[in-house]
Amino acid sequence: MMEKPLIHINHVTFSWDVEPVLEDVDLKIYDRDFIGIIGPNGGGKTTLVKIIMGLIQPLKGKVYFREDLPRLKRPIGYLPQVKTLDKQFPITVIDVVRSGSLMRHNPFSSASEEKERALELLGEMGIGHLRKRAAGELSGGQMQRVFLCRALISDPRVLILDEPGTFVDNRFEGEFFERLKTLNEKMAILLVSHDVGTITSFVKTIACVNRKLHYHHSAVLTPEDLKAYNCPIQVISHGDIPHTILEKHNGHA
Amino acid sequence: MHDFWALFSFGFFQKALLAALFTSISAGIAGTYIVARRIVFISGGITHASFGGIGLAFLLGFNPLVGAALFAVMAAFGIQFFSEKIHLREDSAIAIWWSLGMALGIIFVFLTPGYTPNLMSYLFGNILTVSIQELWAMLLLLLLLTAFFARYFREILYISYDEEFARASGIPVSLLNYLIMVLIALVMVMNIRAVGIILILSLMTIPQATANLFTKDFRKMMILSVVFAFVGNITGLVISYFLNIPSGATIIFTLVILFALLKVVKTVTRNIPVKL
Repeated sequence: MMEKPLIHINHVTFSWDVEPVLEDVDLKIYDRDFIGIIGPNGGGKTTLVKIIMGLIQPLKGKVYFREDLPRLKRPIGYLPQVKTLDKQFPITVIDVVRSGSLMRHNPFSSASEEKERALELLGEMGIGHLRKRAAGELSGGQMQRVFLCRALISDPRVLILDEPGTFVDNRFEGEFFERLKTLNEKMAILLVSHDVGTITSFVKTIACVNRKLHYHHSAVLTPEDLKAYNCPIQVISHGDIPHTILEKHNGHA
Repeated sequence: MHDFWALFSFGFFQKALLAALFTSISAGIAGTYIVARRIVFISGGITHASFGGIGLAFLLGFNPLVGAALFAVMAAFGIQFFSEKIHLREDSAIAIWWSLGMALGIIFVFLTPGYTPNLMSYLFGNILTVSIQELWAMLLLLLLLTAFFARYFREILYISYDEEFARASGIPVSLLNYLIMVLIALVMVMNIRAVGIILILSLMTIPQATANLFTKDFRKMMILSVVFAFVGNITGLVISYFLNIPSGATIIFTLVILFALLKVVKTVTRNIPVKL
């Protein structure tokens, strides 16, 4: 018997006005999947993420969640795209992390337990010493790690990351993707990026979103694939990453 | 000195003290939210719009604070509605409600036959004339506000910081936003008696600015704001009594002086960490 997907994006169409941003997008996310979502700017990647998170409603189609993922308190960890939040807002780093656990499926039995978990995560990211600082005083890269902690505090079954690389510095990048690999042993990951080169060496499969979605059942993409998928992406080759995305391959399902 | 202590035995002064306490707590809590979310001018629009209700109450002969509450809540919804559903720029929506309320108030007061003696006390406040009934209403509203903020503190904090993430988490963002705005509109109306429509924003912002000198934590900022608001209220009240000048204006003046003093102290002692 086929395993049921955790999340099934079932023939979803979305538009802000006349032109559809997403058209008949269908994607199944299974346990322990690690899907890289690539596509050009304005291709609908973030829109797709927002539909999964329930922030916007599709025009047509629906997103189904497996029965063991309750409708409310969904066990999904979410790292939104970098946006400017009020730098002067009076909130401490640890409170930002803890905000990821309210309303989630895995509530802690006590506030102190929740705090402990938040501190543990901050420590793992190497920013435990910043816990009492005002969030606005942190750098972009540090804040990105705080938001990753916020996404992870509820031990989600699915982790959705929207352009996590934006502020991650080179030193942390390798570490960051290694961490995702470890996390992937426990949860499915959906990673949105416009930078194909970086993600292909870590993800298991790739989906190309440019209004339509093309699912590529492997992490190796050729420029011909991208062309066939109508996915006009700059192919950047990173020297220090072992896999090359220009490798020739024949057997995609 | 004898005069000073005798003051506390007067019934009107005791009532004023209670009013100052209630006002400080509610303005400290609501004001921290307003300042943190940068919606000071929405609050300004709401208070000024409430003048329309006061005018209407004068004209039709009912309690002006009831009229003010009615208009304040209407303006709170109106501003949300104009900017969310009609896609008017938010600051324009604020200006429209702000001036519409004032304009209606002026027309209603003009149409009211005879002299309207209390009008000034609604515009500029007079904490020394607060009645027992008004104190009860203030207390009731204060309890409601405190209970709400205590129960939904984390939701309120998270919505204020990152509304979209809160929405993605499943927090009922819109509902809570509306409820908070209604509560804040009512709190501001309740505080009209202390400092008046024109000066009310000060109670919602100056103690918070002072608190913000010492902490960048929402919860601590609320508590400190209450303390600073109370100190300013009482000091201003006593000064206004002995100098025989208007209480509302004196309270605000005291709040600003307090802020300036502490700002200087903070700057001078910058290298000495303040533990809170």
